[in-house]
Amino acid sequence: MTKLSPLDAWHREHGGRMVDFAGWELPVQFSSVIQEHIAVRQAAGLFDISHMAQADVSGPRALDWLQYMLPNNIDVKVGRGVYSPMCNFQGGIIDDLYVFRLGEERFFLVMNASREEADLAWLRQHQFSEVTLDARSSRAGIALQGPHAEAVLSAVVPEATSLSRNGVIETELTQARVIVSRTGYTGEDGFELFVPAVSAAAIWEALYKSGQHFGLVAAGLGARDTLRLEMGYPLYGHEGSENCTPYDIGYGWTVKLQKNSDFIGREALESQQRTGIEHKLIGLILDERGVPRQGWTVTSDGRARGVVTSGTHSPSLNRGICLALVDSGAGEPYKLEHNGKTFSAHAVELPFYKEAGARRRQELILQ
Amino acid sequence: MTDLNDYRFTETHEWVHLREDGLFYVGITDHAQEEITDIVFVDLPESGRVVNAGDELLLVDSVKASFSIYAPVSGTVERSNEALANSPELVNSSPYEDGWLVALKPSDTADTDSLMTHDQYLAFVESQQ
Repeated sequence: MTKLSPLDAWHREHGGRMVDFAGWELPVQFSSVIQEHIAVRQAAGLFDISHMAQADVSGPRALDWLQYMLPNNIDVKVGRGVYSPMCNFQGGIIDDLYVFRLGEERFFLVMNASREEADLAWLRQHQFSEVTLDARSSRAGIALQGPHAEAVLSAVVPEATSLSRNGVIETELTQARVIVSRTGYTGEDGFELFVPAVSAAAIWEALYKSGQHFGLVAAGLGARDTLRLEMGYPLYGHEGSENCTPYDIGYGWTVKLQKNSDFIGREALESQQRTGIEHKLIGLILDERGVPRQGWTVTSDGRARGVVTSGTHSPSLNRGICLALVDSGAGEPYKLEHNGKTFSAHAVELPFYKEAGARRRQELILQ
Repeated sequence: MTDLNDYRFTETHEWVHLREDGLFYVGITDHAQEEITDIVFVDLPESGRVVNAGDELLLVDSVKASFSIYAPVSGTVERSNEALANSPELVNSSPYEDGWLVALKPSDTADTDSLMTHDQYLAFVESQQ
C-alpha cells in the first residue's frame, strides 16, 4: 500500500507524473525535469517532501542522547540545524539526517523516507530514559528552493526570511505550528517547511501563488535528484549504506571524534581513521556524450577500481555526470564501462555545478 | 503535416516508414517520447550493423533512465540521424519527422504486414492504460 502525500490531489490536478518512491506516491515531474531544474537554478521551485520522516525529541537528557546516537556535534545553539549521519557500532551508516535544535531540551529530526522504520527502530532500541521520541505520522514537508526563495517566502512567512543558512524557527501559519528552516538539497538558497498534514495544501497554495511573480514552478523528484547530484550531495542507498562509513564516502567532516561524549560507532570510526580509509567518493564528468548510471564500472589504468553510485545528465553542464565509490588509491585516467562500451571521463572537485547560490550572493552584495 | 497513415507501428512504440529513397526510416512514437520525457542522449548505431526485427537497435536516455529501442523490421543500418548527436531533444519535439533515429536498408525478408496501422496503434495504447 503506497502512502499518499497530503498534496496528492494538487499534484494530480497540475499534471504531476506520479511514481512510487520509498513507498510514497510522489510526482517525478510536472512539466519537464530539465525545465524544473533550470527554474530552481534561476528562479524558484516548490517540492513536496512530505515523505521525509519527521520526529520530535525532548527531555532533560535529549541532548546527551542525540550526542550518543550521532557522530556530529549536536550541541548547537537553539535555532540552528546540523546534518549528521547515524551510524551503527561498526561505523556503518544507518541513515543521514538533519537535527534542528528548537529549545535547550527540544530537537526536531528529519530523516529519509526509505529509512523511517529502520531509524525509528534503532532510535527506540537505544533510547535513554528521560527522553521522549515522537514520530510525526500526519505530516507534510515543503521545500522552497532557488535564488528567489526568500522573496517568495516573505509574503507567507516574513519572520523566517531573516534566518541564516541552517537556521530554524517555529512559528504559526494558518493556525498551525510549523517549523521553517533555511536548508535544502539543491545547493541554492532556500527553505524547508515542516507542517501538519491538514495545513499542507493551504501553505503550498500560498507559496505557489506568491511565487508566480518570481517564476516559481512546482518541481518533482526528477529535478530534486539532478539538482542534488550537480552539488555532489549523497543520497542514502546510493552514497551511504550500512556497509560503508562516513569516511568511505568523504563525509569525515560529519564525524566529530574530538567531541567530549561517547557515541555509537566511535570506536570503529577511530580505528578506521588510524588504519586508513580504503575508499573514496569521486565526481566524474563524461568527456563524451552519454549518461552514466548506477552500477557502471569505473576503471583506472585499465583495472576495475570502483562503481558508479549515482549518475545523470547534468542540465546545467549539459554533460553526463556521476558519483563513484572507488579504491582510495585510484587516480586518472578514469574510464567508465558498461555493457562492453567504454566512455572516457575525468574527475572533478565537487560540486559539479559551482555557481549555486551565486545569484543570491550577488543580490546581497548589491543591497 | 505528417500523414501517419503511411507509417507502421510496433507494440514496443517504434514507428517505421518506407521513404522515397527505398529505406525504412525508424523512430519512436509521440506517445513513447512523452513517456520517456526529456531525451538527452541517443546512442546511435554504426552504419552497416545488421539487425533482425525485434533486436535492440539502440538506447535513448532521458534524464532519469535508459530505454531500449527495437528494430521494427530486419535490415542493415544505412545511416543514423546525425543531428541527434547535438540535438537529442528533436526526438521529443518532432518524433515523426526531424527526430527519426535510423534508416534501415531492408533485408529480403523485411515486411511490415504484421505491424499496426496508426489507428490500430492508438487503440493499442488506449488498451494499455
